[in-house]
Amino acid sequence: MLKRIFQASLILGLVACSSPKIHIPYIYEGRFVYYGENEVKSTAYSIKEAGKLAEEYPDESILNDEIKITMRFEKNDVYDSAAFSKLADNAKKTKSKKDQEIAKMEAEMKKKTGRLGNKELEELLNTKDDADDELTEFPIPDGEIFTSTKFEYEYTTLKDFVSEPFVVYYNSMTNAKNFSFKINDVKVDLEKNKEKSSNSDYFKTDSRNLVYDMSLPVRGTRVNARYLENCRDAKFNSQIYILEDHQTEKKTIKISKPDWLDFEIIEKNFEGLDYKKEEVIESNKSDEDTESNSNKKTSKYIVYTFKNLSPAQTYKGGRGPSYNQPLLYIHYKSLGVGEKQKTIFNSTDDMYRWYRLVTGTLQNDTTKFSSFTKNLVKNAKTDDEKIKTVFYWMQDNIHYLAFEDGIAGFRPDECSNVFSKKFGDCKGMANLTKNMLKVLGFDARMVWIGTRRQNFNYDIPGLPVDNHAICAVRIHGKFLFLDATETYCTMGNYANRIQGRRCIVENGAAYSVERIPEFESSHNEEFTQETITRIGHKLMVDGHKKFKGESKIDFLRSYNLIKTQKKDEFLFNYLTKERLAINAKNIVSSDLTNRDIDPDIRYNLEVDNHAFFNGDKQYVNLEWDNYFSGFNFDSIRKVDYDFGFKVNVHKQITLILGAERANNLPAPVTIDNAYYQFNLNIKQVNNTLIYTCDLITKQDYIPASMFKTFNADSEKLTEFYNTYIELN
Amino acid sequence: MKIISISIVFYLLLAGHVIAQTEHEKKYFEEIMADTVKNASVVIVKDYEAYSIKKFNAFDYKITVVLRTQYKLKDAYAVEAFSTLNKTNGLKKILITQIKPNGNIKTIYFKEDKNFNEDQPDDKVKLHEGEDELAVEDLEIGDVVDYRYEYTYSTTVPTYVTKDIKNGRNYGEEKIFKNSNTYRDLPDFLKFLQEKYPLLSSYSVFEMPAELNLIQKAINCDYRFVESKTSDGKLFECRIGYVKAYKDELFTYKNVDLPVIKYTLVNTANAKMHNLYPYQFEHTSVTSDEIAKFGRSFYKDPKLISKYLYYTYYYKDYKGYAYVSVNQFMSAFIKTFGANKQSKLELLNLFHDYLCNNDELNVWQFGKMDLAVLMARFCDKIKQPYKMMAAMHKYTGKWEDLVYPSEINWGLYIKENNQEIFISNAYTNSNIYEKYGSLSGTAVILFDTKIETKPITVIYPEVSYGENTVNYVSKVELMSEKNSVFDYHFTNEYTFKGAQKDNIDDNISGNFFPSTLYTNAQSYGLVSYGLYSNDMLKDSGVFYPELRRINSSYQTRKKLGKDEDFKAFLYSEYHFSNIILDSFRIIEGEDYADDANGQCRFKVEFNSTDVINRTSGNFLLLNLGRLITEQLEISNFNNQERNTNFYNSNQKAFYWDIEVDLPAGYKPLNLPDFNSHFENSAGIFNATVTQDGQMLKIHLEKIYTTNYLPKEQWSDFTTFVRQAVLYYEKRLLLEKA
Repeated sequence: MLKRIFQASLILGLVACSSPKIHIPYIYEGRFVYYGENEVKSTAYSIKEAGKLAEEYPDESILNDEIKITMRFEKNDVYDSAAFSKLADNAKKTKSKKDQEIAKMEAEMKKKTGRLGNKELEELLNTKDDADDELTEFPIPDGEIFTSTKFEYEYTTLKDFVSEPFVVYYNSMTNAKNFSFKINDVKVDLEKNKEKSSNSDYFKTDSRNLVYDMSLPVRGTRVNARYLENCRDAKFNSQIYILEDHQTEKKTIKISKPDWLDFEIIEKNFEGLDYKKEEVIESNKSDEDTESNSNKKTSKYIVYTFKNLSPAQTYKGGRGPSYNQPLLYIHYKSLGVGEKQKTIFNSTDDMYRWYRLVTGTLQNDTTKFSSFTKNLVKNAKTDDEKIKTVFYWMQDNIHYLAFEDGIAGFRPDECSNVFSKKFGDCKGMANLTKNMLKVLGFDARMVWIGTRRQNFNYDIPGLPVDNHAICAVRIHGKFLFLDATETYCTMGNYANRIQGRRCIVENGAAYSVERIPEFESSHNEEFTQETITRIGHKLMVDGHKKFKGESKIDFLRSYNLIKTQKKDEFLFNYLTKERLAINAKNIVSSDLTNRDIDPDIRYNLEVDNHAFFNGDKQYVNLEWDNYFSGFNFDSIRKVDYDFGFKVNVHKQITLILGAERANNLPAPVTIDNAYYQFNLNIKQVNNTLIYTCDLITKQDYIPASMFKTFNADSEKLTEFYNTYIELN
Repeated sequence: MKIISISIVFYLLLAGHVIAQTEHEKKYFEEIMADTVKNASVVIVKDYEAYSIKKFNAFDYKITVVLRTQYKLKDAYAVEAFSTLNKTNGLKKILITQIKPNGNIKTIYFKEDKNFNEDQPDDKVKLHEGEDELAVEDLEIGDVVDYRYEYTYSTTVPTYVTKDIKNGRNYGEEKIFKNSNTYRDLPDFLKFLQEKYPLLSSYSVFEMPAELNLIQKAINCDYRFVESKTSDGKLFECRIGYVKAYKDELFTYKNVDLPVIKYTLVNTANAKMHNLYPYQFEHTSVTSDEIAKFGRSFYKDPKLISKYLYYTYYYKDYKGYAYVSVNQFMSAFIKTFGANKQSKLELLNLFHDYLCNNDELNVWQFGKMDLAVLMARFCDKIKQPYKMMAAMHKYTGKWEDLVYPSEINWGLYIKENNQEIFISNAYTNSNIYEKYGSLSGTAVILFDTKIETKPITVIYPEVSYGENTVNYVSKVELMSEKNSVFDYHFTNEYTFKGAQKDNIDDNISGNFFPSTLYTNAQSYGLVSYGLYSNDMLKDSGVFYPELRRINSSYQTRKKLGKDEDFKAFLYSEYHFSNIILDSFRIIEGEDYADDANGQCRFKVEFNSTDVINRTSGNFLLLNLGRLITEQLEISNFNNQERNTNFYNSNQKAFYWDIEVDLPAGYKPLNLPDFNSHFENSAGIFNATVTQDGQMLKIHLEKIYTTNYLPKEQWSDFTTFVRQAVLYYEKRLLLEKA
């Protein structure tokens, strides 16, 4: 408080002096917000009304009054499927020309070593830098159909000091333009920034966000925002998510239905929504925001009108937005009528045709790595060993880095590029795996697959179905799938994210749809066996842990990506849970760099705070892992929870007793339902207490409908874990 | 004397780029370094710094800097860590190359700024990390990544916009203000030899005109710069061999225990040049007489320390400034506050607070020297006797290792009515009465400012743990029970004093404040920081009525922000799964405490159902240990070895008095476990628990009794702090009677 009094009274004190004087700016005279030269005022009425709404929606800072999305289609009359190869050639030529120029200049410079620098070379290099700042996706040509979507937002702030930028996503397939903003009916210019849309360590997407900074200090401020988004290929624009970040009073999605386009709109996750769907015919009028060249007087629209939409939930650990978030999925079937009709994604055949088109321009020149690959497998005796050698080399030496993913994530980089760069995305790594195996004479193929995160399948084809690429090799009469992005994955083992998923396996002009094998929970077993003796208040543990499947991959990956000098600390912290009450000694492990061996760790622990005496009785608690304890899903959560894989924990703990007997063994916990099975039991066997803990999730997720049950079961586990057994 | 011509510059094609290299750089990077380091992810093969200083205009120098480091990647972690880099700019030349084990060199990144301004001062040269990233191609274990940065700066004082200040004020769009008396700096260095990774070799070279010199001190090592003459000046070179990696440890004074070289350039040209480069000692082993003379010269020369102070205000989207002379400011200050203050010391304390808390008021050019001189002049004005003080914090180093003046903590010393006051700090929450543990027991030099008396050396008084305390009084009442869910109400009152207060004040005024909101509001001129206060709004009739509501809303949001932040703080302290905050109130010292006994007190009330956990059978588990809140933890793994001695700037004490209700019908089984008496050379941890009916009363004290332990006794400290952590984890088993 003193500080404020200081500021006020000193200023007043100084003002009282004849000199100097402090100027008090006249900012309080009713001007609230300045956007450039535009001055925006609020009215007492709007402030009051916003106050009422704020009481109705206490958690909201913004209320979307109305959102209109109008999507129109336009035929690309000059569509040319050969454009893929033309664009690819041009890109290659441009790059090659530049590389040649640089190489030539570098050669000249080498001759002139010792002299002053060469301006042209430096300029050329600098040009190269500037060019790298642009979107770097491999060019995808225009598709058969363009879309143009008008977005109109009208919202009101319910709180003072709302600072929320207006963000629009774009990429090399879409652009956004014709932005217009009004605040309290005054047209304003907002500051625009461009930002990357992903900051992931591994996934460097080329997608960008346009960010318009908007800070609204007075509640009741109304904002109108509109813009137009154009997409060069409708196939890339097939999902419209319904929920917004804020409560929405009304949202209208209008999708034009031209006669020449056959598509179906699939409503996903619509349960509980207040909406109506109708078909309307509207007369066409001039609209500056559309680039439609339709000559027809009327247009048909499918119109969805939603009311009272709750904000989209943003819980962590979801399975993927398509599982729980309401969305419209547009299945583009065909274009044109009668004999001129051409299919788009009418069936899986069309998807494969499109994949072939996108990848058809690949050179797949294996010269760079042919002899290397043959040399790599020179000591391998069998085909299996050769495949394994290549697969493991890929995991260990090609770094997963998706710099060219983004929306056009369907065309792999050339295998020779991935080989020399030593990094690539899933497609590039799959393509290099395939071509290294082909060099060795194997029947290796590209495979397109949607991971478990995608709630789509080939029954309704479209680009959202597949989001990943792997390699398949035909051996012993069947396909063996190889995903080199999964480090420390053994041959014949599959990451949970692709298990059980259908996939498209290339086969020249044909293809086959295969299914990746799916493993039961036991495949991922984490096994712990411990024998415990007591010295006073301390528990002395002689332990042994083994890992399989996904638990093994997780463990090995974490261990091997730790700094060399930190590896001992990693094992120590893993075993002690970083608790001071637990000390670990004599840690001996199997070779943790060898993925063909299931990790096996032997250790001793000294555990404090889990045993105490009361008179002639001793009380002992045998649990410090506490798996699945403390789960408490929010009652309003509607987003399923993803465990990452099917968990299988099996613990067998033996407490060595002397002459004592256990007085109060807890009742066993036995829980079994469609999603998980938990069995906990402690029993006395001769001079020992045997504690068994089996925790199995039958699925890799738990649906929101089970949260209440799971919370209660988690509490049962906690109660059991908390048990102190009385011994005397 | 060895004479080396350093004017030869080689223009080399380094990975395809034309890079001018000196003979030193070329030769150093041609050397082969044997790498025998094991158990490391990365080693620094070579680390190179070169400063080439050339005369520029009459009184200035242009300094070209080349910094170059080569990292060898030795495991998968290293490859992962170096696999991408952000495009950088802001320097004259940036070149990042990759050297394969076979010697092939490839460019990863090259950026040259052709418009780089060489006339700007050092602090304006910034390496900017762009958002765009590059993937490093063909990166493998065994590769060396070579970063080379080059830039030039000048000691030139930039031309600042100066406007008419005849009326003692000025408004406008001026972006930079600095006092009209500005002075030149030459670079100084505190070089820790230990880096994040093991270092195989390093080489520093300074090339300079003859009137400059390099003075230095090597601490805990024998490395030093060797001087030689060149055709047009001097050369200083320092070669350093293998140095092991730095290990991050708590409670260390790095520049006291680890190998360090301190060095600085000094200008020894002539008196005129000396006046333009005033903040330097021209040699090491500076005597107390010389220190006193140095401090006095700043006091006496009216040009050296601020002539003007300035305010900032915000208007529309730009900042405005109003300047006043220091003299006018002090007069206005005394007129405003002097009438209500009973003593000169209180007035001086207010002035100190004002200087420390209004960072927009001034730009300190000479650090604490500015504070000391302004305080001294204020003392003159109010006729308060004083001496000027020079001190060195224990963590800075020892007097005999002094190399440059910024190592000195300048301040004032006042002795009045047998009370000794050492004014030395400018922390936001400091006051003139507080003592600082990091000075306790050190020799401080006191001297008169106006008369040239012999300086005296006194010992800064010891600061005991009793002066730096936290008292927690916590009442934990059982409100209700339903289905074995026990709802407890906490009433906690915290009192912080001394150095402990400084820590929590930072939280209260910093972390517990919604800074985003503050910034947004400020930028619209709705709440102008310098002018904003309820009093002003109340007193002025010109304000639009709605502003009052916004002001109130702002205050509410500010309080909510504090509440939310405090709730997060409580979660981190107790680690309960649920906390419902009832109220949070600062009782005393919201912004800072301003008297000798200043303390910070706040009270918080909240509910939690996580005090008692259910368990099987007729038992319950009471999380009794957690009621003392989370304790400092040093992991068992890190407990094992220690490279440096233990230093703690402040001895300190924590006291808890906790009362907690037991559920009716339950009796505790392991209550004696909650009694503790522990004492060793590092500290004391005592706990006493008594049962009074269904209430438990716990009194605890955790006292850090020492400022220093030799590294061999590190385990004493970890054993001491471990007591509290184990206590925090303890649970009380309750059995249904």
